[in-house]
Amino acid sequence: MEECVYLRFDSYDFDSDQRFKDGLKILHHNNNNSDGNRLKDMKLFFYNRFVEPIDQSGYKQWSSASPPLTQMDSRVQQQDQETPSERDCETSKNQASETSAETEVTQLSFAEVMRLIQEGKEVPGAIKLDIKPSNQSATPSQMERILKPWENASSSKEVQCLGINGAVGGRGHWADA
Amino acid sequence: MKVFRSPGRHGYAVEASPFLPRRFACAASQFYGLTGCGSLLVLDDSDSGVTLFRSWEWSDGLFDVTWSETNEHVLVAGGGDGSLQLWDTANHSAPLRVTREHTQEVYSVDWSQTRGENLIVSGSWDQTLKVWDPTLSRSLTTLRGHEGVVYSSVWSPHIPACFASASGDGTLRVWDVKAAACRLVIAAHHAEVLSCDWCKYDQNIVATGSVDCSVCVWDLRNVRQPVARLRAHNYAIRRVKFSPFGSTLLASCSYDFTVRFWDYSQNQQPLLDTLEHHTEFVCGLDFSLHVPNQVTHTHTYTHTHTHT
Repeated sequence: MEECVYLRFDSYDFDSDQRFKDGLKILHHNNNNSDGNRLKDMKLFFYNRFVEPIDQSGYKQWSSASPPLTQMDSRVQQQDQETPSERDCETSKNQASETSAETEVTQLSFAEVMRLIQEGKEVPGAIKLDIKPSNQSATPSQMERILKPWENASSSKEVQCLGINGAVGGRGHWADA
Repeated sequence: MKVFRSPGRHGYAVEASPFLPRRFACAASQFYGLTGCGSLLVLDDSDSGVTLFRSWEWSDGLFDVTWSETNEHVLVAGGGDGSLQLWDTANHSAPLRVTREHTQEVYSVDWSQTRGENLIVSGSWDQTLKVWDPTLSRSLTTLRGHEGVVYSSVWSPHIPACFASASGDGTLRVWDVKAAACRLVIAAHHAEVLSCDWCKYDQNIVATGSVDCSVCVWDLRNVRQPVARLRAHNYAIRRVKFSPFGSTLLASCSYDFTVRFWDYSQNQQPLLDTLEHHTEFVCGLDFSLHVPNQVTHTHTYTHTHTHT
């Protein structure tokens, strides 16, 4: 299972991920000596947050122990993974028009935020708040509960209890608990 | 299509009010949920557009929100600091109550919809699920069993004291709160399961959405294989929801920037429609309970959309 994650990470199409690419551009601009390891760390961080959790030290061990796969090799091992090339062109076009439309807000890219956190620096604009509960009572309700669309349709239908009480046997993998 | 923009915030979840047809809540985070604070937005959809009714800040990212089924003012949000907060739309200042029992990010909160029951369930990265009374005092029960992060927890709309959960361990689980026990474990996907939802018209049907890019529809009476496997998304599916108006209609949103609509009973052509106007991961999605075919979804902006 873990190895599958590592394979998926190795074959993840970072080049088609506009968010990741935008961040990298700014990073290279600010920091010319970013080496391969650093890029790999960034990819791991990004992947862990936005695609699926990955054990980063486990991946590094696995990666150094196993022969490197080419992009093609690992893609074959993925099931029915489509290449989202056309769509990505389209979305990056959209993205360009969207960002130009809102110049009043400087948006930090994902990778910029990530770099600042990894370096233990303050993220400009990150708000730190200390909010305490009021412990007040809720405002009393003045509205009647409204029937859900499915309650209207099935109000006469009696609901059975799914076997939660033991009525259904066998076919499902009921837990022993 | 109507759009609400909230610069500097990324929407994680959106939920339609069970009381007010044009009101919905959006849980959002600063900086992609990596750092900084969170915001809870209450938005009203009017003829002229989507307007902000109320907003509050929270000291950590907010990842999910749920409305009370018994009080139109009340809602609960789950945060990156492991907290649940109880908010009141008629009370401007602070949350009414805050509870911190989860040790890691709370990624899902849900208020039960069955009659005569008034419970909240929360799912966390600490791999546990907790059930709460509506005052959010101490948790009533803690349910353990998942071997990975819990991403989603949803009450059955029909069966009392029963909810489903989806996890990074690849399973969908069905729980019985009265017995404090897991009743069903379904090895749903060979990858993380990020979302699940119950069919509103058949109490045995549950859908799951996964990192493997597929939506599966399950009949809990026979879980050896899914009733349907829906493929078209190119990246992980972040949220899946059944329509309140059709028994076989559902919608899914994905890291591939799209929202897709499905009719799982159509074996040949289950994909009905694809919305592609997003330029960001789409994380939150909900159908209006009052207006057939209206959906709201969220990422950097929040959209309402009437789908025909």
